[in-house]
Amino acid sequence: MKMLGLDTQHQAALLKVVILGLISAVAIASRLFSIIRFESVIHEFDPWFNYRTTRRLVETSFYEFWNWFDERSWYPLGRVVGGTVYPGLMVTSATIYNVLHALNFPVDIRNICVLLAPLFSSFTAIAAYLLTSEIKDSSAGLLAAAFIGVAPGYISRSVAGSYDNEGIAIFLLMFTFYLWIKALKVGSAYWGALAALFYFYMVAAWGGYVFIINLIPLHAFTLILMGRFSSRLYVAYSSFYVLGTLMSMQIPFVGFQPTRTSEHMAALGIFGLLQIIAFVELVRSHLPSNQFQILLKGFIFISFIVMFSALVFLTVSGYIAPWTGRFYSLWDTGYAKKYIPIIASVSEHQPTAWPSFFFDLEMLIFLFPAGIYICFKELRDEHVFVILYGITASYFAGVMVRLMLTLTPIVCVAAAITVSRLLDLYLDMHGLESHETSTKEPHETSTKKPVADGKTKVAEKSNSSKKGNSSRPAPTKKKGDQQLFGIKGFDTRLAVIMNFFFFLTIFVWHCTWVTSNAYSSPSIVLASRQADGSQYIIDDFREAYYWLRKNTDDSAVVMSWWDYGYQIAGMADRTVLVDNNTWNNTHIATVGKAMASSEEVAYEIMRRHDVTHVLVIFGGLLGYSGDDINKFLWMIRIAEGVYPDDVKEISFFTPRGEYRVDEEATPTMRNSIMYKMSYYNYNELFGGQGQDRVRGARLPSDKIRLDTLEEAYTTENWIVRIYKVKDLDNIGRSLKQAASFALGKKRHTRSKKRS
Amino acid sequence: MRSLQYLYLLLVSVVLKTFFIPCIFATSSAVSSAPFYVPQYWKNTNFLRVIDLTTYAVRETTSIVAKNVHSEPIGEYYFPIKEEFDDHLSYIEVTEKKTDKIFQVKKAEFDSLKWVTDLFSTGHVNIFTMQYSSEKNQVYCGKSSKFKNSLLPLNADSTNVNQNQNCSRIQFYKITFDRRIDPNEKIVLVVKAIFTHTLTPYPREIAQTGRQNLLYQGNLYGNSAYPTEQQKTNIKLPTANLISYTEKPGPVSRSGNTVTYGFYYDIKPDAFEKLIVHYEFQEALLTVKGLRRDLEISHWSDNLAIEEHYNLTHDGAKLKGQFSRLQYHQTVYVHQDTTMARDFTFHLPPRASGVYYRDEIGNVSTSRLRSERDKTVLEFKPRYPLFGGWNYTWYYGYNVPLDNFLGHKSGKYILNIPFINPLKNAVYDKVQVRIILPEGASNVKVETPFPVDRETHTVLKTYFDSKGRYLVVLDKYNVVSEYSVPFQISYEYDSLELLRKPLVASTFFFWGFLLSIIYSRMEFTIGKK
Repeated sequence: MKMLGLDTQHQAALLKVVILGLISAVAIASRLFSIIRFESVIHEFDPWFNYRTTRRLVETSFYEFWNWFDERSWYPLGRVVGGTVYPGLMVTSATIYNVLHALNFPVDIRNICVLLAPLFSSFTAIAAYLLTSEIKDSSAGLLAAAFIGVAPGYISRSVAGSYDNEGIAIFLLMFTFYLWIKALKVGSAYWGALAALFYFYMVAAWGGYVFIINLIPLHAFTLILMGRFSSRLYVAYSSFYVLGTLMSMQIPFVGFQPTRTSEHMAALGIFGLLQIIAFVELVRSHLPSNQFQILLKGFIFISFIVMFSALVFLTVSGYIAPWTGRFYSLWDTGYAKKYIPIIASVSEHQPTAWPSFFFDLEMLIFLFPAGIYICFKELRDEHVFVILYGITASYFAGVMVRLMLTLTPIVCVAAAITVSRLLDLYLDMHGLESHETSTKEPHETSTKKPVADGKTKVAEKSNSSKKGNSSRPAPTKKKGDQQLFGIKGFDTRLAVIMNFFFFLTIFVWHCTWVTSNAYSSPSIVLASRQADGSQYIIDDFREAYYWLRKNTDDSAVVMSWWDYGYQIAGMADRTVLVDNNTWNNTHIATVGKAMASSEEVAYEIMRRHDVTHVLVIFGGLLGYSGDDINKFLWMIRIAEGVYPDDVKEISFFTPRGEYRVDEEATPTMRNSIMYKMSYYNYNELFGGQGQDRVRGARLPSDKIRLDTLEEAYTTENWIVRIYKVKDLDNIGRSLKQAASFALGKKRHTRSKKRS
Repeated sequence: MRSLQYLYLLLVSVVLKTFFIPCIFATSSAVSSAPFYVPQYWKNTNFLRVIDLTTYAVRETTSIVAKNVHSEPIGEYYFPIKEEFDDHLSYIEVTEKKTDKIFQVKKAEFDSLKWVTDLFSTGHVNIFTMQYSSEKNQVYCGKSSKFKNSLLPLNADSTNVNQNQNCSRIQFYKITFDRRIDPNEKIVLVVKAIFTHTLTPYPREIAQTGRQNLLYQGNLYGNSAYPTEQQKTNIKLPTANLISYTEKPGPVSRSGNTVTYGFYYDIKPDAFEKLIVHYEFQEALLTVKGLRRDLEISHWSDNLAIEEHYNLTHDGAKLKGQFSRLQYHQTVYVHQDTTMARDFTFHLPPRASGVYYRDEIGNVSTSRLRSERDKTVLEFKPRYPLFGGWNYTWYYGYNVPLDNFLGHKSGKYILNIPFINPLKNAVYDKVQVRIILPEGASNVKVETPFPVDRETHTVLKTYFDSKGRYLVVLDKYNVVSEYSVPFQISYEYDSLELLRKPLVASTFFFWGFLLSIIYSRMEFTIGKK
């Protein structure tokens, strides 16, 4: 059939390009809900740091950025940003920015940052297409691209404004894997080097690169165990590993980790193993087999002993760092809670609840095992990879909510394989013809060339798939299967196809719904509805941050719980004590201790850290549940971990083991500055007893007195409350005495007046 | 050292007394000019002054009936302003009362080496000479009889001369009439001068809902370089709540929100007597530290894009202690009556569209837009209410059809648009207007009805530009709402220039495709496939 005067092959190519282009467009479009609903703004917490550093990079030079010592965070310690950051994201944005500006497109850096994740999602769709095309065929590739374009599991981290490492990392992950598969298939150092190059980019972009550097060796190892060692594997892995490792060491934050930490040892080990095997193969080809057996056994024994003892020695002597806490928590989900509460306190580090698999992946999660099964049936090298990726990623996704992100791509790939296989079977219109044509089929396939000369328009996708397959000799067997089990009945086809059409429609509908409802809120802005149905924006965070930015001294030091550190640095442009880069547990615990202590103790800590302002989040008036009183237990736990003598979690619980803020709240609780700052003046707002709408409690009716702090600013809905730390008293009294004295004087004058 | 200095000064004073002062000035290079003595050709027969204190900018309107007492016809009149006030002078305009003709006003070369004191409040006018030491490069001033004691060193090149309250120089403004006035003829002038930042809140700090009082300090007598026969000053206050005011010398009368000084008779030139009025002013004192106004003309879309960046400070009495949200909630009914600034209104041109209001960290959702017949009204709230001493920055922008402001006459386009779109009752420390003309505009001329401090012509490259757009930047300091008058900018623009952008873009793509065609026909593999 001629269309636009092109032959079928070109038609298929054109269609693929058009479809892929549309998928990319959809991938971008479905991530723009937040911009349309709200505005082009950076979301959440970490993106604010990335945005701030990107601005810095754009405003200064790359070397300035590289050597940047940020004295505005972790006061008074500061932070060496260049050495503690994955710069890939910032460099990417800055490059785009500079290119656009060189072409006279003065696009604001904020807009580039906001739209970077959607842009890379469209690239991810293309990468998924390429990868799946390598594994099955291009029709499966297109399905995979479509799936990953809209899958909520990935959208959750890549909506417009979610300017985080993951936004570009998933693309790099997929593309590195594609290049790896390609390198493995072709056995060329060129593709291996390309894979290494993108691995380097990935290392520069996200800490999750460890997944790649463990999965690829695992793949190589499995292939070896399966007896599939080949020169292709040798060339691909060696070129990838050597170049990739050397390049990854150029990132200051990674440095010598690839040679010194346990996470990277597997890759090194496999590299050594490959060399040994290659050497053995070489020897084998030159020796008679019985001599070779002896030699092999001896060699394996000795080299194992040598390598293992070397590893033990290096680990014990400290050359190789043992696994870090975050990795232990991957094996033992209770580990973090016990030993590193700070990791456990992050909600995205919690184990995944099972409904979220369905929520994030919908029907893909059912199709995923089927895809894995299909891979098992074929089990070429790349299928082994899919299986390994699927299994490991499933495990990690079960352990940590956040790692749902790494699972999503492979689920999309596997599901695409399933659906494509199904459609191959049920949409294959050859069966609709008479039996003669179908018997001719194997013959046509074997002649390879004109298979794609499709008989119907509908079968375009499967046509292209055949074209994809025709380049390799292996799938002819599969074609035979298809013929054997071909579905002939029109009604059966219709039933299945209609069902799947329905499923796919529902899938897209679900994805759009989830994206629009769950993942498109910037979280620095809250939206609610007014009585007349119009949208009402609760913008308390920015109100407070902007107030700090404009009306406090430039050298003000703000103490808050670490969650808000990046936002304060980014939006308020003020120095913070702790922020979301939780590298120093002691410092965070100190802040936790200050929050959990009485005024005297806290004042001491605050003075020692030059704190001028304290910021707390209070949701009691509005019913905003993510406030500091609800996070307070984590502060206490983290503080207790470092200062077990000063802070005791138990003293914040009532004798019946309840965590309360009302009349029954423990004295320790009521004396903590967190409690005082949250509820200061709150009773008076109600003219008596305040009602906490988050915890559904009536507050104690006694007035809260603050001696060392004074309210500096409270936002419209009381969500953010900023306090100013009072200066030392002029005549050397304690602030409590001074306040009492002032209070007494007032009372005195009042009583005088009365008399 | 210090005693040496005094000794030296003493010497100088002796020398000064003996020799010609002009001689010394002739040899000096640091002081730009000789003392400027206003030729006494005029006499003010009547002098009426109204000081309007109802807004943050002080508006002083002086009606002068001047009589030529010289023997020849005169066409110029000098109007003096004390230097410390001149620093705050934003606007001066002189009209003739009868004809409403606007006369030319020019800063006469700065320097009258006269000084006026307010130390001696005996009603006397003290005129002294400032003296200049060429070696020390300093100007000294003092009373001649007590020269030794009250000798006060001043830096000649320092603009901050008035740090010494009793030592102040005078800036003369030269008013040129459209004709010469014959001897013994009279002319009636109206001088309108507007000063900014001359009001200071006192007390400096007030509570959240406290009353704000301002201090006005000025000259009890009108500014005149000529003798005045009779003179009266009216002070208009915003309310009748007056805390205190200078009551001597009489006659002083007060009724409602006006205080009247005078008539005073036979006032000498440069007479000075400190005038202090302390009154209540329950409004925010808004200072725009900087305003950048971008006007971007696009002939393509027939659109004028306007964007204004504001940097605003509330200069009123500072907030005592800290802000209490509780009190804010509880006093919601008296907010109208406090100095807090909570919302602002801008009047945009009719048919304004695509209005946005943002600040450094994103969109601000608290704004409303309403279309009226002859204007579009933008009402908006800052993120937080502004109390004394608080700052806020924002920017807003909108589009208007170009034909509202652009005329086309004999091959020339003329943009006619107000210099600023004033924020009510605010004073502007610095205004920068940037006019971005379309790419290819040439022969650009700017006509402003008032002098601007700087006019820069450069090139700005932005979206789809090849050689860049013509950018005119006008800077002006110390601006009040009186400057909200249209200025004109004319340029030539060839309509063929409209094709530039599509041509550049298509050339770009053409080269892209051409390169890809060439590339795809190349063979880079080593060895054969």
